[in-house]
Amino acid sequence: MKVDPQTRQELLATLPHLRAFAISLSGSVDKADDLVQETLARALTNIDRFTPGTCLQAWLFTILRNLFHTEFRRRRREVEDPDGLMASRLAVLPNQSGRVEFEELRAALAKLPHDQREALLLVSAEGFSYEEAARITGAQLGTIKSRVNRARTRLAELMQVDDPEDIGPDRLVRAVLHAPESLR
Amino acid sequence: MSVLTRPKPAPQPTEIDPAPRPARPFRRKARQGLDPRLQTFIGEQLRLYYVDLVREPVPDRLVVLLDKLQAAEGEKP
Repeated sequence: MKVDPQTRQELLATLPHLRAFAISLSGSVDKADDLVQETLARALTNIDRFTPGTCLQAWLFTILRNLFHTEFRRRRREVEDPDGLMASRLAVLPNQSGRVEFEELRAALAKLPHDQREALLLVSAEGFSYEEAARITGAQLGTIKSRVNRARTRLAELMQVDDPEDIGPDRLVRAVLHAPESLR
Repeated sequence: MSVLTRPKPAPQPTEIDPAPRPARPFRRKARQGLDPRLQTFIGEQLRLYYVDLVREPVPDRLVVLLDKLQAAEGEKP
């Protein structure tokens, strides 16, 4: 089946998002690029199964997520690999090597159980609704909400911002100074 | 000594605050959900981190692959 120009455009626009998700999920840029590559191959092979008018991005995220979990389960059988160990340290991209401001967050993210990390990335980072995240992961809506809540609480603990008073101006200013211009 | 140069009275030390906050009030709350301010902070940090990742240029090989796959699919009957 031929991919129409609009779908191609959408696929291209989704690539950076798929890649960001894959990097955050797997903790490795190389693994992430392999995942994205395999996702594209599967998507193109099965493009006739995609319902036009529905969210292509969510569909692609579902494929990538399932590929990652298949791989994750396989690895788990081969080597005892408790949650978080595989991504004991999330990848740092070459351009980010000097960017220490995300170091705390990266380290904390890597310590989350993978189902919590996945839910948090989909909802809080990528901006999917709870309903979409539930469809993508095949989990119940309530499960997704609870995973996101637990992930946020755990992140706050790991980043040692467990007291609202700690957030203070310094920390907020630091976050704003390092924000990409579009978010300022 | 002029009124203008008189040093201001030292601020009251906080240690003698008659009603100190209960220790770690947030801990108890954590079980019911994250404080909204913390939730906002964590959410912002996460978005900043993620936007940075999304802005990374996608490797050419992925774009090239997309075109190759598309061409191959197009040739199928």
